[in-house]
Amino acid sequence: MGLLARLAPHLPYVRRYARALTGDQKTGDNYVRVALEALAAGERSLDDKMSPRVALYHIFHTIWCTTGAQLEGDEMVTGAPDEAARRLLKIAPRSRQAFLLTALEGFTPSEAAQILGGDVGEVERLIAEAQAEIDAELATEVLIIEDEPVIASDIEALVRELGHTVLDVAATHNEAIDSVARKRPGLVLADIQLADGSSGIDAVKDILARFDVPVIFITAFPERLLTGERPEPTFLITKPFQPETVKAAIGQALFFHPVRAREAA
Amino acid sequence: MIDHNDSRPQSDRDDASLDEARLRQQAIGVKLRQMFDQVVNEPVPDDFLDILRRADERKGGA
Repeated sequence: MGLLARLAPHLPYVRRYARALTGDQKTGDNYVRVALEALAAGERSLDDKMSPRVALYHIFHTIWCTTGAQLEGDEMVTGAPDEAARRLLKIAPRSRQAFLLTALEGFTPSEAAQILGGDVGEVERLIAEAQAEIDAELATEVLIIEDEPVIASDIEALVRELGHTVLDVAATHNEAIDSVARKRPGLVLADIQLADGSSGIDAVKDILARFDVPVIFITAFPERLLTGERPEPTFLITKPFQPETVKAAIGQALFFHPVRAREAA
Repeated sequence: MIDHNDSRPQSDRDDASLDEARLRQQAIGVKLRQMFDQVVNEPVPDDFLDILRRADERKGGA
């Protein structure tokens, strides 16, 4: 089977990877083009021990890491088109590759190891390093709106485990408003039904009217959020919750939230 | 709900924290895929296909 037949189905995905890795489609496409030309000229060949997709990414990788990874500078980070792209570029190149190959491209750690020319142990270490870098980049001050002390303290503990600071735990609508008047949080985690019969949804609406902040609702009454009353942008987690689910939602909410809009508000 | 006195061996804890990191990265990966949907759905630049086609022709003709 020819190169075209073997590789054409994978080109859209290697372009996506190249875009995410370099922060820019034109730059990414240039590396893909150089990789394809090296293949066509016979300077590189598809490794028979790998699947065509893995082999293609491996050749792209050898091209990019001998040139692109060396040329990265701060201007690339500041010039990135949006917050998520900028955050990706802040992760060190090799950890960023391991992160993107597994989380974006869906490769197994063993396939990622073949692509990167390393072993599974290294890929696992890189994934852990990428996570530490993401956590440090996303660290922020959190307002918890929750009237049940046991749940509030569980949420506080997991928020701190992620490296965030807990600004306040508010048990009512009024306490939440008082808290944000003192200091703006970078993230709000909110229950819906509060101690004095007030509503976490109303508290969040009042907060979002003042400034933009990512919000995650954690509630035993998800139906109250599904009736059209849900303010945007929000995430929803149902009680009883798994700590990992809350942590994953926090990371997702913060990673994609535009910081500049929040600061400008 | 959160275990503060973890008595499991270090290697188990490393595995657990790696699993958790992967779970959290997958949550970001899902959104990244949405963000890059357009890249995957747009046509691949013609010259990419030409490079491969020419290479195949050269090989076939050799």
